[in-house]
Amino acid sequence: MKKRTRFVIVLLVLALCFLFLLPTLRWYFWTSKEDKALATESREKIRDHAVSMASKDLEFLINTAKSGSTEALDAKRFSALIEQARKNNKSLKRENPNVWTATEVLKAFPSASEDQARREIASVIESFYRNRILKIKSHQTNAVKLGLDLSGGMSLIIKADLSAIENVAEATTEETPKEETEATETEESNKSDATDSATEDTKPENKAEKKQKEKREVSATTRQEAMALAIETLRGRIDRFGLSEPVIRQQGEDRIYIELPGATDADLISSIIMGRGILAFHIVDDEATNQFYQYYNANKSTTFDANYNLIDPTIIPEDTMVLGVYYKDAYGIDQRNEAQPFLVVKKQPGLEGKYLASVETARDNTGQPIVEFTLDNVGAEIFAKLTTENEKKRLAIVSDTKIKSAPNINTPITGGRGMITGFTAEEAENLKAVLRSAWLNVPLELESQQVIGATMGKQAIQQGLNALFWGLVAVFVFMLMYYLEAGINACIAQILNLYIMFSILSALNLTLSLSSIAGMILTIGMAVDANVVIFERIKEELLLGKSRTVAINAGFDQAFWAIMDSNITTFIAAAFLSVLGTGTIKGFAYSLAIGVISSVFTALFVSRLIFDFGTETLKLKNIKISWRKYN
Amino acid sequence: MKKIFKFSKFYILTTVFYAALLIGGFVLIFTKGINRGVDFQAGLVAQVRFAPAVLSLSYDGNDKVSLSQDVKGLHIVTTSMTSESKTDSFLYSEYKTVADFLTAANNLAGLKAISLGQDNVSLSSLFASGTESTQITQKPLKLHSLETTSEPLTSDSIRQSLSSIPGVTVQQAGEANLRTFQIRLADTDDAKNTSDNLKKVLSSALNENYGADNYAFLTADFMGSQFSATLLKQSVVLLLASLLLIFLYVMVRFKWDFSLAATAALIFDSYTMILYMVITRIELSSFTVAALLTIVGYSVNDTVVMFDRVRENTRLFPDMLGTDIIDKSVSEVLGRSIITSITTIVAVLILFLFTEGSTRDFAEVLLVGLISGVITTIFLSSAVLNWTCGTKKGQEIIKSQAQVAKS
Repeated sequence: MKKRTRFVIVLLVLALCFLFLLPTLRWYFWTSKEDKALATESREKIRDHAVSMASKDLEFLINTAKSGSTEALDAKRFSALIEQARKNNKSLKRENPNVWTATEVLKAFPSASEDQARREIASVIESFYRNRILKIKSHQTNAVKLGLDLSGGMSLIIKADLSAIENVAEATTEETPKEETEATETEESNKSDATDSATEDTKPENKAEKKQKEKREVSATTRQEAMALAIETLRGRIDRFGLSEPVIRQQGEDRIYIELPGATDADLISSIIMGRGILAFHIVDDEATNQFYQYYNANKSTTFDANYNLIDPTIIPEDTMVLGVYYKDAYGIDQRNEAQPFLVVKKQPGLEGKYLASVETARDNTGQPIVEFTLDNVGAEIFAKLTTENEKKRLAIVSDTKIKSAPNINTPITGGRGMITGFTAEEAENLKAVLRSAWLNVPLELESQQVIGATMGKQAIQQGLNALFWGLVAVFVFMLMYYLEAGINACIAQILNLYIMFSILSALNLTLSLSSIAGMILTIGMAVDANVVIFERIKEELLLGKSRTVAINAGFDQAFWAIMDSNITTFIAAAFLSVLGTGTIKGFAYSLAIGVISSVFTALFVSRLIFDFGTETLKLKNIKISWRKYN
Repeated sequence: MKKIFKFSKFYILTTVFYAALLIGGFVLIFTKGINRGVDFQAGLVAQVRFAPAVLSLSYDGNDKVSLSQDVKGLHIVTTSMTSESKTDSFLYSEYKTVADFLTAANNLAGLKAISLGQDNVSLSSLFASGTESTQITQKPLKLHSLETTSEPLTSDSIRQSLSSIPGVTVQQAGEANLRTFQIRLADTDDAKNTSDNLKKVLSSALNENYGADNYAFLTADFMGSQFSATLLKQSVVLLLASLLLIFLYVMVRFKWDFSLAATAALIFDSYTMILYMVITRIELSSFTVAALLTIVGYSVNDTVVMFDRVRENTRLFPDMLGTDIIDKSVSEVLGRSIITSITTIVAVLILFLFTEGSTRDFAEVLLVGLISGVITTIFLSSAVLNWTCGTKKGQEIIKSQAQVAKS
């Protein structure tokens, strides 16, 4: 390969590495503390923040316009709005004013009604605030995360008791009630296209087959489903605390590993692991809901505090509570329903999920997807009473304090069988999954817990950086003293090595912990071995009286296998280590493995390029690689 | 030409030494036992610092307020749903003592800062408990300082005051003036939420003896009995599996007897490290297991380089006797082996000097492994190789070699 080509490759690699590092730099060095705090909140809270900021800005705008102020608006705060106003003026073929005052901006939004204009302006401001924070959030997502030992925080290992679902699943299949004759129906009213589909009989066929299938699945698919559900439940609970980038992943068959950087509150744990997820049916209080919305629409920014508690709890009756309404988006992530974000429901659940016996999706006779469910005998009795008393009201299906659906009760359901209609096939599947969680929910148990205080983290960062710096210095001093000028080559290679390691850590979204810094220091010590092997070989060739070029070529060629061997064996060890349980060791293993790869690149490619540069460009004839004099 | 050392003279001595080490080590392990860290032994390990609380912060309002601390100062970050969020910073350079901080902090809306004793302690000496939230709520967040106490505290006195708890051990962590101790409680029963229970047991005993405001948890780690058992099993399996994989790799590159010699060296490296841990009472933790695995992957490098040279020399000197070829090869790569190990040892030594706790233990065990690695390569693996190749001539050794492209 030509020298120039190799040089370009090295430059490209370095540039690529810089791109990888960019989000990390942005997040840790170029973002203010309060923006960080905001960006680490959940998406829901970011949205709410944007909504309340927008409603405030809008008030300000209208009031300023009313006062007839001729002052220009804050160009930064209203940049998005002014931009939109410019566009509007252009399409309206109006001229842009010299000074963007509040009045001028408002004029650029001529709508049929004042109300509509307000909504348009609010949505522009809202998306401005939201996009700003989401952009910062995306930096965080792509930045290197600090491990718990550096940031302080908590790691938990939670065991899901999967044997519980076996018992429950078997029990429910056995308890499946006999044929119910009564045909009943509930109807989803959330959707505007809900049709009054005719009450249908509930297809009693294939009951036996289903039973069979259910029992078989308990061992494999159901276990996976239960684990996925447990993880989702935990994620939902953790998200509510707005913690920065929690790590939640399955470990082995039945364990869940959770990392909560920055969170050290012991009380938090108990609320996260408050047992299995809870599914329940709550009656919606429509009257209270209307009252709530009247208040909410007028006081969007002062309805909830930062923890979603009502600031003024007297706006709803005492026996009710406000819960968010959620649907699953295309990526399977819970999103709050924008059209109707909240509902007021009775605190006391009308029916607990444990009474559900089976849930299936099907099509009614018009081909509309439906979800059918049956209750066990006790549940059927409770449900009959509930639906009779609350006919025509709505029934909220609540999973772990999130409303997943709120169908109307069209007729009392007295036979323990109901069906829900009025949605797409996909939504039906989602709802089925929610209802099934009633028996897939397994007890969760805390198995291991590690808490590292933030102060300890600060100390650890300092120690790690000191060790990294002095480790590098020590190795440099040794190499320069022992190999003189050739040592410079090794030092450059090591600096690049460190740079590449950091950027790959960033690119792969890995965690930087004290153990991964330890891994880096160790890698520096090991990576320099490759230089030693090459230099020693070059020395031997020089001893035989060979010239600089020949000795360097021979040195690199002869050392190739020795370097590959040593790195492959180290890589094997690192790969095995990465399998070993805890997060800290994983960090060490990853940085060791990454270091192995990058050190092969720097030793064989970069180092050689530097030598060739000396030979060909600087026309060097000799090589100063030892205190001994050659030729 | 390089001088050839007669390492072969030491083969018998080496064999005797390692045989003695093997037997002596067994005796040692069984009599003293391995000191298991929290990863491998169920229970609670907490680091507790005995320092009185000097400042209490509480907040009453609708925003989310949290405290953060860095080398420059204290920061109070307010995140609001309804207005711009803000950070109020109190730099140590400006606010030297708690008293300076008190007046300024009390000016913040909703925030209440109270001194709990002397307010002339420096602000930079404050630290919060590591196991409580840094969010400031109505429940006061207390900050401790070491500056107000100077009387020494010994692990013996703490052990005595905690004697009501069965299976408690106390160890000093760090310098004596840090008044920090590692307290371990064994997981005695498998009741639900043992983590909470054990911590409560410890807290109530500490409250009784020292007062609730006079100590702070820095860390609290809990390990369930089932998980620690799984981890131990996993570690043993991984160590054996990586030894096997390296055995196979060397076999592919060379031949089974070379592979045996290399693996023997690795086994004794790990064994020496474990013995060192038994003698110095360094805990067996995921960190030290990581050190073992790292040495297995790294230490084989020198051995492979030596074998490479042996193979090269069998080609160059087909009539030379195996023992002499090994002597010659070891002598030729000796300088190189030592230098590569020195660079790594230097890096690990720095790590050892600059860190503390488990990372320091890791570096210490790694150092032992690195030194042992050099010795086993020079003496042990050559001695084992000598068993099978010593009496053969170069050309016979080369004949039985696996065919690998020679670069």
